[in-house]
Amino acid sequence: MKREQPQSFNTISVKERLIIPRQVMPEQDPLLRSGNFLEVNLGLSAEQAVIEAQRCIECKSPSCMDGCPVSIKIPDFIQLICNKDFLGAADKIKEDSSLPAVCGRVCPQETQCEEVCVVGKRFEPVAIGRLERFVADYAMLHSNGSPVTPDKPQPSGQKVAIVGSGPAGLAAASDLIKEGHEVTVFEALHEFGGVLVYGIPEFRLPKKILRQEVANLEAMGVKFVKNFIVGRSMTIQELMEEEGYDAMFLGLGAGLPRFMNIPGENLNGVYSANEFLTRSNLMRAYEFPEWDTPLYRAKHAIIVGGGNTAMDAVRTAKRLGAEEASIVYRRSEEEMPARNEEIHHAKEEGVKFMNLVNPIEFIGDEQGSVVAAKCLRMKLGEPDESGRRRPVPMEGSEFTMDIDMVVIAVGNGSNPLISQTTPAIKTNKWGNIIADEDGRTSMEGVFAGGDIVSGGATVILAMGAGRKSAIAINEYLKTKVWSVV
Amino acid sequence: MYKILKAEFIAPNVKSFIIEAPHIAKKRQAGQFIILRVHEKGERIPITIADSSPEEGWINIIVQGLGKTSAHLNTLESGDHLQDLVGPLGLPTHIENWGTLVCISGGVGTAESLPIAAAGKAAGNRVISIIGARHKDLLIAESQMAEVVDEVRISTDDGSAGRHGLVTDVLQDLMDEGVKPDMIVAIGPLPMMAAVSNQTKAIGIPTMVSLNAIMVDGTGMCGACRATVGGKTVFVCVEGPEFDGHQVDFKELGMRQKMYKKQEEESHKCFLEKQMRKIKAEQVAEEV
Amino acid sequence: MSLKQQIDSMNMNEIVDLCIDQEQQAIHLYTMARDQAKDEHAAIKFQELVDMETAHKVALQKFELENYLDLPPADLKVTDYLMEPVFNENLSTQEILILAAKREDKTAKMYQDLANHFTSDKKLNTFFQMMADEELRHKHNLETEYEKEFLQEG
Repeated sequence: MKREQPQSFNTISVKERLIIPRQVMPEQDPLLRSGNFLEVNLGLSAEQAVIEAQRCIECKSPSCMDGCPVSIKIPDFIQLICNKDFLGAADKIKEDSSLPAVCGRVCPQETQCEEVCVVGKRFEPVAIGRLERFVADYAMLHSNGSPVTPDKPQPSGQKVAIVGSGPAGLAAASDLIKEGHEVTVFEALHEFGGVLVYGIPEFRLPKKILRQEVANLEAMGVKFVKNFIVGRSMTIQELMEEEGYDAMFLGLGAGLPRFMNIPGENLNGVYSANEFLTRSNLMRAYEFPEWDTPLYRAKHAIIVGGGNTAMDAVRTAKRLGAEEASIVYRRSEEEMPARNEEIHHAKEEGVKFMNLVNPIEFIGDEQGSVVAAKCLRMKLGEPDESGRRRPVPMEGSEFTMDIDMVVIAVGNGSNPLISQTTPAIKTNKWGNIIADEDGRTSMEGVFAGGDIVSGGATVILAMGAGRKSAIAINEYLKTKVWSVV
Repeated sequence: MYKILKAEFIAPNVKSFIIEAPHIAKKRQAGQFIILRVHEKGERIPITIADSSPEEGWINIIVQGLGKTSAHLNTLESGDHLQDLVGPLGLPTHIENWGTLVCISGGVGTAESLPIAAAGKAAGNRVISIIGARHKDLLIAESQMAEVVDEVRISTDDGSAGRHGLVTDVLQDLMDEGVKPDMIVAIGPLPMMAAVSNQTKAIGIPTMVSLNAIMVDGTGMCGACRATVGGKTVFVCVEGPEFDGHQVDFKELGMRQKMYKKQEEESHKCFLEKQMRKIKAEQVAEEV
Repeated sequence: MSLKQQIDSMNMNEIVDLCIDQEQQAIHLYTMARDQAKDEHAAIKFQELVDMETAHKVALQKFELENYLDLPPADLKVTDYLMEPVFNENLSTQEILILAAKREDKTAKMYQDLANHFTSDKKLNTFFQMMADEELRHKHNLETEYEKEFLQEG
């Protein structure tokens, strides 16, 4: 990628820079944190951030930006940090990302920007994610709660509805408001943020950060409507015809949680990860009875699955007081889709990993509560299409263990509401909305992106989809030309 | 915030609320429900919509104070506000002209079956309502029901009104008199719906029940409300709330409803203690 | 008369016909399911199964069995412990895959049982072994698809 070199504030030589070790982000002590819901990572200090920024060698053709789904101008913002212009750095990131404090925390940087960092080829890569988090937090703290808003653009006279206030919807809203459109975000739940509020735990993403990001968008002119289920409260057609929306973006997120289809899954104490995390995160069940929503406090919890959601659930179970909280995963640790950092944190907090184990039945007592899990041990066979070795059950390896809670974290299916109420929007065989690269669906003026289109993915990919659609929506609002999907 | 326009007790511990909700009132059909939160630390609970006025922009719900949230809700008066309210949720009741429709209900289920009975009548059915209660004071909505159906029959556990017995006894009486129900809709406490379904399965009368499962989001995202119907797991919030009573695994659902019994009792106790303190404080303050 | 006794009294052509009949039953079941399915994508899935069974049937009719000489892939047993869905017109793709994989598994076991029974008759033994292997191959394909679509996080 050809780009203008940013002005360098880094006065030390490349060799000296390469000698600097990657700065370690302070964390809450594992013993302490496994008993509270406060954030685990504490963030770099300003001094650390400047030192870390100096590790960037200002490559002539940097690859980090290509590794970022929303192409944040990484070298530019890092140079601004070197110059201690932290607010300037935050503004630079905001040119491309609407949720830097969130992404700095939950993006899998190790497989994105940091994976392709040139420094990382020989040494540890520049901690781009931690730097992003630092400047975003700094900007939040130093704007005294009143967000810095760019000048309001000329009103376009066009109305756009965004359905769902998760990462895809918020990213789209942020880009569209800058174009002068009237933007309204509709949310089904009573808080904004989608998966960021119901799915990701407080100890990984404090809710106040998210609220601040939403407040920033509100200050920019985005309207937020909660407790509104598009499809039930009003249909897509009604919003467009009666409420006069000119275009719409559907960022509904994933839908129905998947279960395993083994006996005993409807026993009390068996949760979907969605329910378990929603009760804890959105409904604050960990503060029961101060907050009304109850949740099982297990002694021996197992969490089935190996993704980030499974890690969030197992660490939550531990914090709710489980003596033993275990990951039960049918493959080996190497094949786990969860981020290394999450696996590492879970282990530090005392989470047990039972890899190459697969539950085949849950057993209940007379009250219908789960008391045991019957499992099989697995061995790894040939690799599958994803390159991961396939687990195969071992003959005669069946065993039973006593447990009092199960969380199933094996992914989500699609949300049936839109296809139930808007047949004009075509879905594929998995129930996901069919959309082209820019998010155009089979209904004119309606775009979609994020998990509802692609199935389970990451926060930043959903944001990327939201931004892509925002560009296409702009184009559509200008030309009113619709290319059929 | 959602304003309560009117609130009044219609039976001991049972309160009727008229709530300002123009969007919901406009869309709502018989059989659908809402999810509400009473206060900012409140839980989300589903409640069936008993009535609504699209013109005046309100919905009506009937609440029996059983647990913490419903007890708290029943302390609210007109002019108070609910923290959150979302709906209409669930699939509307499928109504057609079956011929003779018998609506069987108990407890607050009577208020909930009222719109279904009315829609059934409007579709051309002969509609008979069977209302059951433990005691005559606990009967609700029987006069409203009488206005929309052809005939109302009542049973009480203690014989204080109507037939001494259960709703299933009344259904048997009806059939003994030669009435041939083509469709039965049973709404009320789980044991009642199970008993009716059991009775009608043996004689082959199609029976629809409205399941009240524990829910969180109400849009299919969490799966808290799963039940087994016909050997298959369903999500009551998006696939229901109404199902073929002959296919429902009532035993499992009954156990699932009691999942948080202990916590609910704890929560309810906390709430009652707080209420008592409040009342006492008011008294003391007055005395001083 | 048990299946084994029946087969004892049959010639090879009759045995092949019996197997063709078995395939035909599967084709019939999946065709019916396809026509009843309320979801168009479920109907497509059932059509794929019809095609798979039809190909097997045609191969049997032409007696083109050389394609079936390869050893079958490992039995993943992904669906072995899952609950068998109750057949209805609202089956999801996930349920269809479980249903079909379990059916292939049962048929494979039946042929394997026959192969084991006729160990002394080399020709019969080979034939049934090939049939069992082919059913296992179908099961493997279905379970691979199941794993790819539904077990990525777990």
